Amino acid sequence: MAVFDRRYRPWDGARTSAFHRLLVLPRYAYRDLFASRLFTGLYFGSFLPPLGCAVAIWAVNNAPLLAKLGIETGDLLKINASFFLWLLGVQFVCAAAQTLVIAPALVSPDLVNGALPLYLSRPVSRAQYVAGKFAVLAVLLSTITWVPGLLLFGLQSSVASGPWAASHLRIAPGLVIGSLLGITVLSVLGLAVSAFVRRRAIARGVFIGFLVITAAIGENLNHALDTCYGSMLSVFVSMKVICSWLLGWNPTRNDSFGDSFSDRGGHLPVSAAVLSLAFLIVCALLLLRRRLRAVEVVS
Amino acid sequence: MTESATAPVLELEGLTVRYGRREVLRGISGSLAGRAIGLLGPNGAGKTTLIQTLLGFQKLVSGTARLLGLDIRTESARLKELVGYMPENDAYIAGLSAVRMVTLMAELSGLPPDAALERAHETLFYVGLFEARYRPLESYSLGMKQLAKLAQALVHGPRIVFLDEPTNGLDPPARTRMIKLIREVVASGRVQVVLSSHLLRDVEECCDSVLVLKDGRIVQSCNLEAERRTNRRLLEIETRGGNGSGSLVELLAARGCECAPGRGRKSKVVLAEGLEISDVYRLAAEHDIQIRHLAHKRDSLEDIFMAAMEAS
Repeated sequence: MAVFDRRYRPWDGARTSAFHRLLVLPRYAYRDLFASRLFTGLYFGSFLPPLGCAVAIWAVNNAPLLAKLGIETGDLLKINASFFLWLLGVQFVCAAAQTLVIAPALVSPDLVNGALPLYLSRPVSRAQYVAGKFAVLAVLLSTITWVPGLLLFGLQSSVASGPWAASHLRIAPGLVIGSLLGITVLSVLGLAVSAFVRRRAIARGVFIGFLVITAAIGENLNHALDTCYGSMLSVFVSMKVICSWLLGWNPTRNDSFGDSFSDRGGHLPVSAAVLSLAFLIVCALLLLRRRLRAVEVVS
Repeated sequence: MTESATAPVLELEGLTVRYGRREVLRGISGSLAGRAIGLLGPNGAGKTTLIQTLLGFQKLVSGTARLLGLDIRTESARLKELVGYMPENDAYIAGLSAVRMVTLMAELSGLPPDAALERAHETLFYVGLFEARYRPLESYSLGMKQLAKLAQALVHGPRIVFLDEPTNGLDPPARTRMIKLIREVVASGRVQVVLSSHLLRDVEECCDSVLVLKDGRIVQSCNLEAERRTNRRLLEIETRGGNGSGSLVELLAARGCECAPGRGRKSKVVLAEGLEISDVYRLAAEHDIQIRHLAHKRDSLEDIFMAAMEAS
């Protein structure tokens, strides 16, 4: 028996607000993403480093436990900018891995079969479309970068003896600003690459290739020209230089968490690192503007 | 005729669109009313570009247009709530089922989630994809993909729907089904349709007014209903003989009829007011003219189209 009348029925009911419509794209994307075991595993796996850090903070600040284990306080790792910079670095790698999975899944299915006109013939502009897709990445990557970072900062502030928070006040805003910059770079780059190559598998290859190859070229340039400016090509080195500055840590100092810097990369001026990432963001946005069109015009 | 059928749906004022240096729409102006408007023209005439321009996909070089009384440049967002669009080419989101894609499109058009889901099911039932609605769209046949595109164009209850070559690539039964659906939508009286096609039959079967484009210009714009009413007084006549007082066509022309030579010995005549077919027979008999053939000649859309193409 038919459930519906086979007749055209117009819609006379109320329509949702523009803001509500903006949330439609992220809502659908999250449902699709968390239906994937690979992504779900990757996402929840990204919380392991912050959990480990939480345990470390608790242990370092637990004098009875240390006494029972016979560990001297001086032997322990120090919870300072370097510690949070290390955490941020690990979480950026996780964020890059998630972008690798998410970004092509967000854009490629729309572009490869010409679905963009279906979106853009509705009250959704190109900017809103990109904002919707960006929001998917931004929210997810925030939950694994600055949100756990701030929680750990709060944990350390509450369990540390003495005015630890007052002497490390720069870390909290540094975590947020550095993370947001990294999220923006990874998200915009991931979306642009996906929009450019369209095919999901190829987009993933190009994204990872871009991060690795540019870093390798930068390192080679550093060695060949005896300079530090080759590191401007490396997203990770540029990010690390900026985050070091934001957290108030000297990147050329070699302590427990700082040894992953190459000799020259650590000397890259913050302004040059900011310039390189700003350039990358602008290029990615221009690429998105060019590729995300309802119709392709061959003039 | 309802008010919405007589009010202009589409008003164009010097609309110019370029692809690079090439002008695709060349300052077109005009006004069209009707429940269903057909956009006709050979390939490359500018039909799809006109639709895409009205939807805001193409940048205007000059001029403007009003759709349902709303300016396409300044009231685009409001307009898009009222518009449904079925593109010519493949358009679907890979990996989604039909019901999920249509629901997504309904929500993006501003329907609340529950209503969007219900209407998605309802619209897919309406277009005949009910049984296949949970299948991924990439597994659909071409005809089914066309129906899914139609469903997403209708799901949010638009006031006007743009259908760009909706019967492209369909086999005869699928084409018939698509045309029937379009006619039903038009007959509902709640939505207006702009149908772009290079197939005259599609437009003739569905539309009550037509805009013929060629090389980015409007070469004909007419109300098919009015044309059909005029056609009732259009005759095709073939005669022999006569007593030397002139041909039947000349005699009819002298009585105010519009006459034009047709193919072979046939002529087309539009009867003047007050003249009936019985008068034609009487006149022929009075002048010893044999009427070998007399038929109501319906000026088909093909005639209108070909005349427009030749005139341009």
